[in-house]
Amino acid sequence: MKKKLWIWLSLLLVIPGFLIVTSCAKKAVKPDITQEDEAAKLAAEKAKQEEIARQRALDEKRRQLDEKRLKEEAAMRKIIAARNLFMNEDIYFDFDRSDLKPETQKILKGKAKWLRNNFGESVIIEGHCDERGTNEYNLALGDRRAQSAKNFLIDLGIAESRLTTISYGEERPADPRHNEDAWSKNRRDHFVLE
Amino acid sequence: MLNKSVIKIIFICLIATVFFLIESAECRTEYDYIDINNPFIRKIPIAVPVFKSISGSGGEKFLSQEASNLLSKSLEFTGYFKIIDRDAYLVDPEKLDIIVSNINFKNWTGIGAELLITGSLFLKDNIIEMELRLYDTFKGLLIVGKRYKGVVNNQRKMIHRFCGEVIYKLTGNRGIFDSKIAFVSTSSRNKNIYLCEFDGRNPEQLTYNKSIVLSPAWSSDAKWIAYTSYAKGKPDLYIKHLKDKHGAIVAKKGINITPAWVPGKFSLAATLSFSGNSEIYLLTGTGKIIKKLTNNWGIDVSPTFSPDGDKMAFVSNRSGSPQIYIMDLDSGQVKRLTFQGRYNTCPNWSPRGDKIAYSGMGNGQINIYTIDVDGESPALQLTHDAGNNESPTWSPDGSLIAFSSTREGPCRIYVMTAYGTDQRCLLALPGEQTDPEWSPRVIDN
Amino acid sequence: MKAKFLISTFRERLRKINLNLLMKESMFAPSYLFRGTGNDPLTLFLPFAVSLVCHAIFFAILIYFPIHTPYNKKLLHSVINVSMVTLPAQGSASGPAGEIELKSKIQSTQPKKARVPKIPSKTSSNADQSRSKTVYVATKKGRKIKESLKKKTFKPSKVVKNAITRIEKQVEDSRPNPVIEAINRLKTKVGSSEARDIGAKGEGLTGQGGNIPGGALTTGYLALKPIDIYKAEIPYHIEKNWAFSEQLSGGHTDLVAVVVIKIMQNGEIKDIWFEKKSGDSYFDESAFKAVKKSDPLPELPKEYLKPYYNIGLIFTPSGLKKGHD
Repeated sequence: MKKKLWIWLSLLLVIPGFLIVTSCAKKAVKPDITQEDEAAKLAAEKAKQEEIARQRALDEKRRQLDEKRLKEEAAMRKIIAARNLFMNEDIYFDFDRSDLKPETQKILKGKAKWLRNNFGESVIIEGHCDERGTNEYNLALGDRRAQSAKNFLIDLGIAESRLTTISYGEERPADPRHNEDAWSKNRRDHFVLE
Repeated sequence: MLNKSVIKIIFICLIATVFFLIESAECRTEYDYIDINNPFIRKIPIAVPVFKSISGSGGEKFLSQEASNLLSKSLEFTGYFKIIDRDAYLVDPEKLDIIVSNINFKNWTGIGAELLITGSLFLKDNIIEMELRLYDTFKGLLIVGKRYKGVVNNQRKMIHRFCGEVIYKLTGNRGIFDSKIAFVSTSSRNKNIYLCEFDGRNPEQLTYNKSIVLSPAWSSDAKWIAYTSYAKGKPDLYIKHLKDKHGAIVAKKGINITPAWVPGKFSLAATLSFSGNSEIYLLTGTGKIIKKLTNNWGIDVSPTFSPDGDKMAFVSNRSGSPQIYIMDLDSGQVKRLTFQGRYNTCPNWSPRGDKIAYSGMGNGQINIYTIDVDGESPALQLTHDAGNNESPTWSPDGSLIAFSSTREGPCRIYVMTAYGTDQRCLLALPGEQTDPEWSPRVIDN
Repeated sequence: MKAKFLISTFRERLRKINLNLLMKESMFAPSYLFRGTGNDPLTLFLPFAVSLVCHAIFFAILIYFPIHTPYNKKLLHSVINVSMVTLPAQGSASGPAGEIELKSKIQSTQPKKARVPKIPSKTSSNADQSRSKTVYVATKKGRKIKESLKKKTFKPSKVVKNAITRIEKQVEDSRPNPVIEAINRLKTKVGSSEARDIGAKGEGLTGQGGNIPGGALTTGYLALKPIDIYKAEIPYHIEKNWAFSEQLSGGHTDLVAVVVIKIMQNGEIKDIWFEKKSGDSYFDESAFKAVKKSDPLPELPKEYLKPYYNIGLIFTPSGLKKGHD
């Protein structure tokens, strides 16, 4: 690698040398060009070449640093995305149910993985219900929904101390409309990182 | 032998004929029967003429008008009475007689009034003196008469005290006139507890949380109130003295919800889920656990006690759907009460002890039902096709039920009789009102 | 609910049946006796003769005391038939002539218009109609009320009329078409026993429609007597004035009180007495007040010749349930 670089550098020096020689040959017709001038010119040329080379090396270095930073940034973004996904991906329930459906369990497995990779994080599991049914019962049902997610995560090896539950019953709907579409969005567990 | 028998036969025949004749003669005085089984008027028609002003001054007249109107309204609120329109009176209001010896009761029976309340009012130096009398117009008898004296500001209290007398004479119960209703309202943007009088008047805010406050519950001396609040971020139980504002907090892991006071005791039941499952516990008034009442894998929530405190009804989904169960607190035996429908919650035990009101879901609607505690007759549906109706609560005399309903869009508090008649909105406040809880009689207020 | 009353009527019936049995015994007992002693044709003839005499007496009594023949509630109902379309003219001595179009009225909304047979005097029905409307209003304002009732309009300025229409409305609201209902009620009660009765009597009834028979009849001919129409109207008049709060009674719907009233020719209620009290003083009082408020009732029909008419009113709050089911 380095050798190649040197070859390149020497080539860079030699080729312009030839060019200068040829141009000088032409100029040699001119009688006023002296040997000293020639030598001075050559020296200047050389310095210039060196300067350029250094510049390039610097550029290269900068580029490499940039690349590295970008990579790091991408990784960071990925981490943040994972974190956001963890917080934003709710799990949903059927009416008056608190059992976890297969797709829900898949989501929870993902969350467990994330929690395993992020030792420091603790999570609050919020249990919610749709507006149907009565407030009091829904408070208990929301609690149960949060509990069932919590228990599932514990089974997947997450320390209980990292998991807290809060039931909001029907007090905090995600979708305030009064139809099945909204209700199905409201029967959920929401995950909040402390 | 033969002759004898013939004589015997003839004798018998004769006796028979005589009996028959007597029977016929008897029937001469008998009469037909017809069935009368459908009263058209399902309330007691009562006349409440404007009270007589003793001095006749303007202020006095105004107060008389106000007092008699309040009396009419308060009596009407109970659902027992039909107030006869004053325009139908045969008696000149200026020449109203208020004492039994002067009253011509025919004037009142003639317009269908079965009861009559007369009153007189005397105002002097901001002190009013009222004499109020309740008459049976058909018998021409004074049922009860009272004299009240106090500052003008206490007029409302005086009138309500007399209403209490009237109801007491008719039902043997003091009624609702000194009771209050606690409820949850979003008038201040956040859910907070408010109190108002039995008829929805004078609403006042009780809690000033910036979170969510739910499920108010009165102690049976009406001095304490327990409720659920998210003030600390999760549903905790607050037990507060209404006047002194001191109290206790139960803030265990999980939910701490649906308090219900044990009648006559400084202890209450509530649902706690610190064990990982929601169970009903018996707590002291200071928030210490006395014992666990339910023990079941399912949800157990919303306790309510029989008036004698021996039994507790609650909601459990142990059968797969929320239903109401009754637990005998001595034996711990649990019996399922509701079998109609798949979603029956919010039980509230009548102060009379015989019925439980609850809200049940059917055909996508939630309605109020009452059911006999013995569970032997089918539940009676009290609300029909009028939004969702939840959280029934009995008045202290068991004659009325307050509940929340979305019949007019936003959720508001409504009142009806124990038979579902006379459904009306209790009060109109901004925001939504839910979770009404009728207090016992407030003795010292 | 009505169990107690039914028991009492049943007891009464039993007594009557016993009597009949007694008679039968008297007729058949001899045959047993004779069977024991031998088969003399003469001895057989004797019971026959006795039986004949008895029958003769029996029918004689029937003919002589048609009005006072004992009949009980059930029999009474069984002979009232309200589902007919028209009433053929009656040939019976006291029966009125005329047609009644009850069925068509049943479908119409104005129960009070239900035409009552064209009794010559035509007073009773009309008189009671106007009277029935003035429940809350006595003589003084009578005229005004009638007006407002006729117009049935809402003039906000005239509060009096307002109030009255409201009262009227409430009365109607609380139980729409009361007469119709009363009639229907009768009809259903009669319905079941009707067929049996027709079968038993086998005469006097035509296929299309039936008759309102004379109240006093148990057998034989059927006649519509004005007093029966009068009787059928009474529940409406009393119930209209009956104020009873289910709420106040504590939801007891198994109360029964029997009030007997003596109605004079002019409709005045002369005597009111309880044959049976329910035990619930509020209920009993409400029944008593209902009768008091209904005084005077419509005049007795002119054809009714006796100076007064006694009738037992069986008060039960069973109709309340219908109100909000």
